[in-house]
Amino acid sequence: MAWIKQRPVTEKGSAIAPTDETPRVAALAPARERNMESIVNIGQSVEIKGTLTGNEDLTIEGMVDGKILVKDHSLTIGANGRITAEVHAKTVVVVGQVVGNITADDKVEVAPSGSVEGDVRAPRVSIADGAKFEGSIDMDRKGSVASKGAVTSASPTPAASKHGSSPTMPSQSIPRSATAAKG
Amino acid sequence: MKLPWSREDSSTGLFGRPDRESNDDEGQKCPGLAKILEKILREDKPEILDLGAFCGATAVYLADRGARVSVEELEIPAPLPKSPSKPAPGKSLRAQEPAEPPPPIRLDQPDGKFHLILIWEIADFVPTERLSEFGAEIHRVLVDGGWALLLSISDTPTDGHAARRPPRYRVMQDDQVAREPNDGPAMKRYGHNPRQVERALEPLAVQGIHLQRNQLREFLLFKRARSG
Repeated sequence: MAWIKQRPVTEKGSAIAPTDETPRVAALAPARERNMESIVNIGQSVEIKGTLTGNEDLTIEGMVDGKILVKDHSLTIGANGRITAEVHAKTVVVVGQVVGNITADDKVEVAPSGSVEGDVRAPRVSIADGAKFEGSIDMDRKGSVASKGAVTSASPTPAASKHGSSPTMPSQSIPRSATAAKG
Repeated sequence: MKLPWSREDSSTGLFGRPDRESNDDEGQKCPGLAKILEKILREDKPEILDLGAFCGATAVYLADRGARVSVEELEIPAPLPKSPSKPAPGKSLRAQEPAEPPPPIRLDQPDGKFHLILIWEIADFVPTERLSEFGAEIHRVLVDGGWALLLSISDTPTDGHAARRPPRYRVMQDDQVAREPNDGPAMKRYGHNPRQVERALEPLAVQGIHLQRNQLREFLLFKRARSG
């Protein structure tokens, strides 16, 4: 990849910290290179039926029908990925389509182009505007360390969380509205 | 299945600016939601059904508050066919046979599952003659002692052809929601008056109606526990 070759290198071989003139990606290159070694890609033309297990990060662009288990690692369903499977991973990123339940020990992220039909269970969940979803969301934090301050939403309006607070309903604060209550 | 209000353009990740009828980014008060959430969040992992145009931020917000949130986009029911009128002279009776009845309104959910159902303006798109069928289905999937929050607009034109679609509701706080437009072809909105809504939802007890200044009505509905 051309941008790796262009990366400015010091005498010790480490990347120079990014400056205004230095592309930000250049500084990230060594880490990226290391990561590339441990990411497995399943290409667009690959179809798998059965159980898929692994101890590496996994990116799927093909079709999987069955079960996917990559505990302690991240799983990315690429834009071309078509999954009909139960999924369990540390982190799941859905850019393509998933039909089946997703369980993540850390986070599930559904991109704007992503589609999920099934139940999602993870301490952190993010669903971008435009994503398609049908199923249920369960953000179970039991036993999760990484769950503090967990919720993210790719929506432009952040959802304010009120953990542990007791919501009140000050009816007086509704301007020019009438309230009719029935018994 | 592609549903009537599913977004055509899902690639941008942006929804666009709220339309004229919606509120600004700060949203609007929704006291009924706060009141119900306060009650149901006392349960351990209450079940909530979000029934309307899907908003991921809303589902995530409610799940983060401790609920298990299910999302379902109700397929908008077709109106019932009109009963055949007296055949015109020279026309055979066969031509006047009633059309096939539309499929029943059905939520793909088990009986008595949900502690709260959020009905974001969807009822406004249900034909008036089928409102009671819709209400019965809501009643079926609620637990005894469960709640429903129904939002409805009361300024619908009398001809029932308002060029709108069910908007998306983004819950920003327990008592605050933002109403956002939903792109796509116009759908028929029916002008239900409050009595029609109350009658249709008769199995549920109306615990309160909040009238907002923008003609939005909040119905707080409660399913009584069965006696005996």
